[in-house]
Amino acid sequence: MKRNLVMKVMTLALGMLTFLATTTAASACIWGLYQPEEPKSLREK
Amino acid sequence: MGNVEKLSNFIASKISANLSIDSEREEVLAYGAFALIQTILSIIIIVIFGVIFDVLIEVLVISFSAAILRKFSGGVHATSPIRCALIGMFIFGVLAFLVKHFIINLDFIYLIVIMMIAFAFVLYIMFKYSPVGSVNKPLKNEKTRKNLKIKSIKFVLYLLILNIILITTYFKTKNSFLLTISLCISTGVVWQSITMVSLGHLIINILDKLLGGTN
Repeated sequence: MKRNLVMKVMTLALGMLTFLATTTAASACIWGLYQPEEPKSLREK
Repeated sequence: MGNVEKLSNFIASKISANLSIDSEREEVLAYGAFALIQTILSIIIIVIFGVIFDVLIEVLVISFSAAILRKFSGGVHATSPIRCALIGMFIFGVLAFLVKHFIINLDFIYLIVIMMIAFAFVLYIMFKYSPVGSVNKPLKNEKTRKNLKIKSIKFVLYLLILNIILITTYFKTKNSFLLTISLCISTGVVWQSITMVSLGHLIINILDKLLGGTN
């Protein structure tokens, strides 16, 4: 039961963070005055 | 590596271990976690400053106007997430304080002239420089650059329309809160435009060095 709940939370976090990373990569920079290096798979070609 | 990066990587590795995903996907997760934590951290620091110095609404409107425009137009960066949040708090805090205690007291006609000049300046900067890339995000793709420039200009035009509505309503109702919001929006976009030119680079670099940055 607990394991099932953890997996659901992890899956939800996976979707949310992937979405956030993708939308952030499509903009000029991250919120605020700091820009970390982008993951290779999200860099513009 | 800073604490925000460490926390982001920790979250990504936990999710990755539980869901058995590859390292490339884990990198994306860490980037997403970083974006989330950095945004929350910046907003929390600004809210604390706003509450302590009684400029909460002003500092939030200025920072959101500047930060949203920044997503499309880019600009100079600090050398660490914490320095970024502290510099943001300081700059937006000082600007909010100036708007609330000094600029708002100017004659209405001067305020209108100042805001007209402000938006003309912002639109000029957006047409000429947007988007400004950085070492970690150079923005070299021509299609991406054109797309971001259009979004920057559109966003400024939306804010200009909003400002005209706020000022017209202020003129009818004499509710000074509307004028304050309008001034804060103008201040936020002007500051963001400054971060796209050499003056902004100089200011951020000085503050970054004062906070221990090495660039």
